[in-house]
Amino acid sequence: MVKFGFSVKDNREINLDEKEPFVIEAGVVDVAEVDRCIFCGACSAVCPQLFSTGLSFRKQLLSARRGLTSELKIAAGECLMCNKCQLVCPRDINIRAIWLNLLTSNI
Amino acid sequence: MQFDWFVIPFVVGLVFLIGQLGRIYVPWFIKLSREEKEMIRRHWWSRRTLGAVKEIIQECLLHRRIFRINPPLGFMHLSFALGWFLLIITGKLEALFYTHDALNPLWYPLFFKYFEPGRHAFFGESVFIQLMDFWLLVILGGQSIAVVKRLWPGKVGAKKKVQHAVYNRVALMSLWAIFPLRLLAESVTVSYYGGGGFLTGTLGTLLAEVPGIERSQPVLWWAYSIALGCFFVAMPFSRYMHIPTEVLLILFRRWGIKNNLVAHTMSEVELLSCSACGMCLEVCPLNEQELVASQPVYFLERLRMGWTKPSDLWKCLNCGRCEAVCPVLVKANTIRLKEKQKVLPAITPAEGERVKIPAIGQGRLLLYSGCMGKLVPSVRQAMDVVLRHAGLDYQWLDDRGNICCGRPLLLSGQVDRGMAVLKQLENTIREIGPDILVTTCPICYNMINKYAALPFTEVLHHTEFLAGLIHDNRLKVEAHKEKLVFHDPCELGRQSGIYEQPREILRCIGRLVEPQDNKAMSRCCGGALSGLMVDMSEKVALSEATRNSLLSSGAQKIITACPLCRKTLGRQANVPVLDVAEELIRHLSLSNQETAKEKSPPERAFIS
Repeated sequence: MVKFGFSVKDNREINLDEKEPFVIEAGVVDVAEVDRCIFCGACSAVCPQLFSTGLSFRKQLLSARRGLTSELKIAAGECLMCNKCQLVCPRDINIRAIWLNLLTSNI
Repeated sequence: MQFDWFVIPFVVGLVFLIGQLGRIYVPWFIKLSREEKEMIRRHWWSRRTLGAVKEIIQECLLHRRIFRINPPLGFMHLSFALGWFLLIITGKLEALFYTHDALNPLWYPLFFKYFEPGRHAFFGESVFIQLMDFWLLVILGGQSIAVVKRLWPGKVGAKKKVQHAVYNRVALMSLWAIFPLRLLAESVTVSYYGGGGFLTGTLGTLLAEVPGIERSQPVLWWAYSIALGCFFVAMPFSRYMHIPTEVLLILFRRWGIKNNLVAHTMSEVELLSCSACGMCLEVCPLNEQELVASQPVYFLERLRMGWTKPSDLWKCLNCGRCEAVCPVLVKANTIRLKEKQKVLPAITPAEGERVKIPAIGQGRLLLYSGCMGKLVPSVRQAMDVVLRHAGLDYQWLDDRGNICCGRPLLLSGQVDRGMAVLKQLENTIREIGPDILVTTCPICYNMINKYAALPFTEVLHHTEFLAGLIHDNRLKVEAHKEKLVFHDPCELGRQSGIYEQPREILRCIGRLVEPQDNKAMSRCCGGALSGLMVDMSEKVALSEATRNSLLSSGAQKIITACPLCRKTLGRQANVPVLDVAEELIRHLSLSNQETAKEKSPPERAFIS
């Protein structure tokens, strides 16, 4: 069998009843801080993990807003905590603290 | 029979204390690893123990390190420790000389004045009486400083006073009650029977005027005994555990037991050795801005009671200023890191944290800029210019797809994952097998130096390497008249001990000026990796304070050796903030370049 670089992804659950899971899981994530995000992508541009694991904060945030939270914890486990995203973030969001909070919480 | 019912609180307290000490200390000895036990077995009967005894006298009794930083506070600690110690010893001797019998009840020397009132004309009696009064005076002198410190901290040179938890206040109050009560009790007894020294005698004469004072005598002796009992009962749960534990700590340290990420006993010993003196409070950059209360004195206090909060763990810059001034040399950063590790769940390192790129040609000199190299590419470009100038053959480790040294993960508490990332980096370095590895980032330098096993590779920070090149005359530089100030990065200075090499380079290329806080007491730029939960406003305040401190020297440029410091300070400063390498390329003399071009093939870098 020939292996290509692409594959069909597994089914992913989207809970449409939970409109804003970030808001529901308040306490884990500072909602006011996350709401500052303007999806500029600067964090992904400097992220050392984007190349190797595809970690992207804005992607995860966007998915979570739409109800897909199953990948959050995995993404949190991929962060290298280097803090470059905060250095370039025009909105001063402490992204790695959000990942760390997700890691230590039970969701 | 030398007994009265009032000795009961004292005896109960003391027995309770001894039981608690056993409960705490015995498991430590059991939990020691095999290597540590072997170390104790090898060293306990050697000169190291003598050195430890010397250190115990200097630190536990005389408190030399506190004296050096703040003499009034040093005297305060000395008076309590030395005064009380000598009071006990002199009391024991007094009882021994009187009875000619070393076997007295536990309470007999302590309440000697009560059991043997008046004068007895035994050998050396008057000396003992005066000496006991003198030690009591020393303690009361120290205690008055302690009271002043609590009410007006500024009067004794302490900027901040420590806000203690409730159980510590109970212990403190009973400690403060002990000695005035002893003075009063002895004076009242003396006023009735005579036989007092210069302190108790004088006060006794005055008190004798008060009608009916002799009726207060049992009350005062009871109160004295209860104060002692209270203190002993509160001690195992309060900061006063440092009194016995510090002795153990010094012995353990001298016997070669270290506090690191794998040893757990030493952390607990250090935890209980913290006397909450508050020295760390005064130097913490976060506290200078009145920002947070996560300094070792508070963090360790909460840890003792198991009340740690996330902000205790992640609202710390790991800058190491507290460790630099700690009189007990507690490694607060290591303890904090271990606590982070306990809170976080274990994550298996993800596959593909390194991108595979085909190997590049062999090179004996390897450079590594780390993840920050991508964000501050000017440092890497500057290094390219310098090394081409010096005519050296080199390659970048970053081109092999290694993105991280693992230190950010380690400092955030994910120690296992951080070590796994480092292992990958280490394997790549071993594949290449360079003689010298130069990192342009002190964070990577610290991590690789401390935790990577690279027996055949010399790991250098780029300031060390460049200083070596200039010293060997392989790099010719020209000096300009600009005033340069060097900002010591925490990871390079306090944590790796490199202070001089960057300064040597700066002295060669300009006029080096020193800021108010430099070297071991340098300030944090505010962007420290470990400050995970430090808010942006707090970071900005820290950067501004650091910038002001640096510019107070009248410098025209701020030079640093860490890309993270460069980025963080660069945001705030109104003067250029540059890396050492970036500044160096402005000062390269052209004559060197021509000679470098003639050389072919390029020579290998070697620094002896």
